[in-house]
Amino acid sequence: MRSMAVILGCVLAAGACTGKTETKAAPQAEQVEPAQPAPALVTSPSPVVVTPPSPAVVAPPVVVAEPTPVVPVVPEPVPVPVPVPVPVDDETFSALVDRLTAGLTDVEEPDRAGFAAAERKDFVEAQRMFAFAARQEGEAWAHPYNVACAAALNGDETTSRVALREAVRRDRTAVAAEAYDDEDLSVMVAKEWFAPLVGDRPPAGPVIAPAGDWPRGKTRAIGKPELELLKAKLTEVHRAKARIRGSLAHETLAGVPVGFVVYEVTLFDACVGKGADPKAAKRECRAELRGDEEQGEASQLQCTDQYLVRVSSFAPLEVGTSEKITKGCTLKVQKVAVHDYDGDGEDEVLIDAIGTTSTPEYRTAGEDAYVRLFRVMRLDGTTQLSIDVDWQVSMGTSGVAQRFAVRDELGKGRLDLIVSYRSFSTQDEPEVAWALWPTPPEEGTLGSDEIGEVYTEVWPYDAAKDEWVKPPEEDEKAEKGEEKAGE
Amino acid sequence: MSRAWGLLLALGACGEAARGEAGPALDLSPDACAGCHAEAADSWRTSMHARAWDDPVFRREYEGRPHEACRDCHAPVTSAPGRATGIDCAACHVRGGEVLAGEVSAAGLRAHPMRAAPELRAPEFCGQCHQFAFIADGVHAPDEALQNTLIEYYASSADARGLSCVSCHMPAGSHAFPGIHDPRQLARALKVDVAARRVAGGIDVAVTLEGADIGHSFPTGDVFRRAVLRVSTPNGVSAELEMQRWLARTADEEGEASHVRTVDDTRVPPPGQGVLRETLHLQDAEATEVVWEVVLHRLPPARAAAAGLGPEVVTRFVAGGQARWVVHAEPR
Repeated sequence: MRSMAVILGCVLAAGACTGKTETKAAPQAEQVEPAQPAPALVTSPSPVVVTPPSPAVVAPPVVVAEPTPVVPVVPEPVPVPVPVPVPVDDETFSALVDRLTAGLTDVEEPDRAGFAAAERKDFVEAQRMFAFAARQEGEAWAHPYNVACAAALNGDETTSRVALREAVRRDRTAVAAEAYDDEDLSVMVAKEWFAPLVGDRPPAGPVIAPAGDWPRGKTRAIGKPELELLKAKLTEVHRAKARIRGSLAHETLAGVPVGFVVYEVTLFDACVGKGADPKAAKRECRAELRGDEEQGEASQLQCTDQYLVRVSSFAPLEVGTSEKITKGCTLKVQKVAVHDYDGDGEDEVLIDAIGTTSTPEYRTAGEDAYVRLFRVMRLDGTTQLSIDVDWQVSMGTSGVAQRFAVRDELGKGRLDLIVSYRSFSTQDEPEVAWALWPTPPEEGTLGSDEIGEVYTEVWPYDAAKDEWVKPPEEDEKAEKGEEKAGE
Repeated sequence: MSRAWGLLLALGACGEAARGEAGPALDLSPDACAGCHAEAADSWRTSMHARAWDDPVFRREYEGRPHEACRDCHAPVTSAPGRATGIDCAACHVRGGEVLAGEVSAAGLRAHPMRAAPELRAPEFCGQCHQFAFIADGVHAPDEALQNTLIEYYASSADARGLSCVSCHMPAGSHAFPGIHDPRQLARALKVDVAARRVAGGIDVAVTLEGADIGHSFPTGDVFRRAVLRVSTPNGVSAELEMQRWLARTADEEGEASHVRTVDDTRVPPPGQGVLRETLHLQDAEATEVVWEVVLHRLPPARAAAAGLGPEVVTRFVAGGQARWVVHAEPR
């Protein structure tokens, strides 16, 4: 089953997993990725934009540094992989659910029951419960994923594969992000069919490790009744249905519960909701959102607006003003978690999401463009760090890769933000940029002589500002030196 | 087959045909069939079925995102793309090593195993490839039809009148399968009434389109087909009515997810399901003449142009004429 961080993420997607988060949340939260020992290669054709910490000082955006000199890197020989077909299973997921839940008519909170069964190592019962959850919630990826985990732990490879296939169908990105490192699936990960079925491991993206092992306050998932109220409230605000994609509730040391919610509203629903006459609104909205085909404008009809909102009180429900964080056509939340990321003794909320852009010109939609939204927020709702990375890569693209990590680089007892850059140039058209993000260059994807050397900046933590501060560029330093000399 | 149209599977999927698991080996090539069925083979060669694999519009889409399910209907018999012959004879007429036909003849039995298959004439047989949902991609609603022709047919008066697909698309048993590539077929599809009326500052043009000799919506088939009725004056003033399915992402009923689905349908409904009416305005205070034409684009023109597909490939003329004046006004 999914780790704490994942569970928090799935709450929005699946609206479930509450049992797991309440019982196991804190210990598993330790498993947030460790700081990277060294900068690694990630790719992005466009410069990263690091939004300045709020509310005080506005730091300038990161200037992409040209790596000098360019040092050729000879990649290790890459063995040519032999494609392994994924076995065809006779049983569909729907039939699997019917089989597993035969005789079950009503179960209250089936995921909670599933996690409890898994806890006592009754994996057969866990499968039944997760399958029942899947029956109740049609399109949430987490339920078939949990069935796959329970089946794997039960040693049932076929059932695990059937369920995993369904989870992948529902949300490949989310599954690929979790499955490779999920201990429950470790036996399946080793199977030849696993990688072809699940696809590439998604990019690691920015990595920020917490300063302490534990969040200082108490974190929990937002309960289903609270979520329903919240959805109703947000729907009222937008006059269109809000889809929660990520959320958590956190009780501060002072005992005040606050919540952070990432949600989206489809552009079409929001547009129609503004109109008085639904029929006329439909027409106006499709005209407005279709884009100018003659000018090659992309249609926005398939897209959403994405928002972040802070809940200042759950009883009664008090919601702040939603902040639009739209980064792509739609949004997938990778993680919503709480830790003391900067080591200042106060918890911060980490929001890690991927904006995706589908390709509506094809009859099967794909998700080809990616923007990574990475944000550290203080519990009062102000933003401490915001990083957007656009990493769409296509044939002949050149650009600069970035990677982020947090560690005490300067030895001052506080975590510094490490920003690494590396230039690259693609020769062939990569399937998706994923292959480029966390991994060494692959043959035929990157020209081996077109990878720049790593250039790293250390952004020290400024306790007075409660921010990481970008160091001045060399020329800025020189300018300041000249100014000083002039004085 | 990955079709959502499960009830049709009982008829046997096209892809099973040439594989002929059960029966003796047959030469499944159209050339082999043509030895005895020259007329049918010749007319088939002029059909879009024969070009199902090579059609440039299909190739453009397929090469961008090849998916196994596409081959089920565009190259069901021969898996090797280089030898694919589209929806060929065997795709419809061979199952399990037997040739299926409306009637079994002694001559036929001498040539190959065969059996009578009245289901060949059933709309559901055509529906195997003309009614199906989007490939499950997590983006489109799971029940959203990519092509919806059979459902449209069921809703039409053609079904009630006992007319089936073959009534229009296999006239006199023709294997040319006339459809949007046959100008005569297109010309019969719609009843179009275009009436102009002088109003302050211009002309209001009331257009009414109704299904005529057709058993489904117009246009039907692929979701990116778009028919356009264009009215214009000699002064170059024009207005358009677009007839197509409009897809957009909307929240599911329970709000847990959102999917892309049809949110509006401005096509001409199937006969018996009403008419399409619209009033277009022309900002032309001078013109005394309004002409109209209906064309059908297999892909939106801008998208086709971007893919290097010209109007000769993607656009078909349907009908045209002069608008009648409801109240004729002299030029000012």
